[in-house]
Amino acid sequence: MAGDTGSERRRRAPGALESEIMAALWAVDEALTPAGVQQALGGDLAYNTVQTILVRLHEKGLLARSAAGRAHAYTPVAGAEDQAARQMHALLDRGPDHQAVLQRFVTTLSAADESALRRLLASARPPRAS
Amino acid sequence: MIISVYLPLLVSLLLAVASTAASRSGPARAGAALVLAAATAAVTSTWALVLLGAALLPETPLLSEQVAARGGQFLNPVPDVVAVASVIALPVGTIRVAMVLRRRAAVTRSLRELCAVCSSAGGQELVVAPLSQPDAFAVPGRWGRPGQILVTRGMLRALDPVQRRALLAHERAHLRCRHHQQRAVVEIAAALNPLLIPARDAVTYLEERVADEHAATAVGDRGVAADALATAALATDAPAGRPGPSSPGVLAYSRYGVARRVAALHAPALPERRLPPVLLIVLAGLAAAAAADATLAFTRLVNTWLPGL
Repeated sequence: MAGDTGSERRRRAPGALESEIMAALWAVDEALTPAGVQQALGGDLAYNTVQTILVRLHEKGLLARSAAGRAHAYTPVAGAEDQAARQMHALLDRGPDHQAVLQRFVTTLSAADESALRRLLASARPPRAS
Repeated sequence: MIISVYLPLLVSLLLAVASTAASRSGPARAGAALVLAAATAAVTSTWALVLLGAALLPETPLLSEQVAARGGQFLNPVPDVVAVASVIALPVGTIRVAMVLRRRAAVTRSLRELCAVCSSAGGQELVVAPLSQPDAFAVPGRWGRPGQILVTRGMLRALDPVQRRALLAHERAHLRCRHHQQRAVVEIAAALNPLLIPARDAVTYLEERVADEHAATAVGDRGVAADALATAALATDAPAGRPGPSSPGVLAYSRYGVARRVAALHAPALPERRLPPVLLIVLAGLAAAAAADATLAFTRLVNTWLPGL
């Protein structure tokens, strides 16, 4: 109940942790050991937690496993790329009215937006220490 | 009836102005209130069109003989132009709603098919499409089942670990807060009554803002969430691949676009104030009361057409 401040980012739901680990594995080209995954996540998760979740994801058929020294290395099992590409085209090539329905992370940028974002990113980097 | 029947349309017009103001306050309450107000305005203004159109009834063969037979008065307080325009507007609105529903169904089907193609096991929250163009979507679940987050490999590679966590938290917030349902409501409202298009666009923006704030909370830093958004936006835009549709429909959304969301995350968090949502709900109440009053007036009008009914 009390004293929860700051622990919010540690207490992530198991489903959310699985998503984060899958995302980290998809973001790299090579197979990762549990230690590698731990590092790719920014190092704020316990080794055992990462290991447990990797085994679970492997059992679900989401990760392929190969031997890497004394540990296992994991890679995501990918869906069919050409099929995915076709479906993505079916989704995005319908015109603006259909696009507007999508709950998309980012939308198309105007030229002014783009330069504004580049400026913001450049200026945001150095001073933020908090 | 002469005044109250037009009030829902006036309220819709006021909502267009209020939408701009609402998108400058704390996003969660203002968004929810705007959805409610837009829905009320859509229903009441459509009903007002029905009443205005029905004022023509005594002049149609449907009723004219009856009115004469009962010794009623051919009283019609609505100018014919307005009544005819209402009669035309109703089927047009219905067709527009049908188009919105079809569009939503088609997009949802495409999204779910894409998810199905890319998942190697069912029921996972995250689905990764093995594609290099960066993109990310929230895919609502069927029948109250939890939705899924669809991200391309290209998007995951464009972001660092903390930024990826912000992206996932953003999409998760859309799913948890059932934003797709709010979106359906305001899209239907704007189809029925084009005066509500600004309200629809404002709701779209406020939903993104709500999700952005969830992302900021998840990573514990608004600046990091802003960087994630900016990085993702630039990555999505940069690759030479997609020409990006540059039609007016998309431009209309850029007013509520990514740059504004990034700026909002860099600025201090806006407090969730009470006044804007209260004003929006008062407007909705005004439209509802006016519609009720117009309905009563219409029943009195029917009595003068057909006395003793």
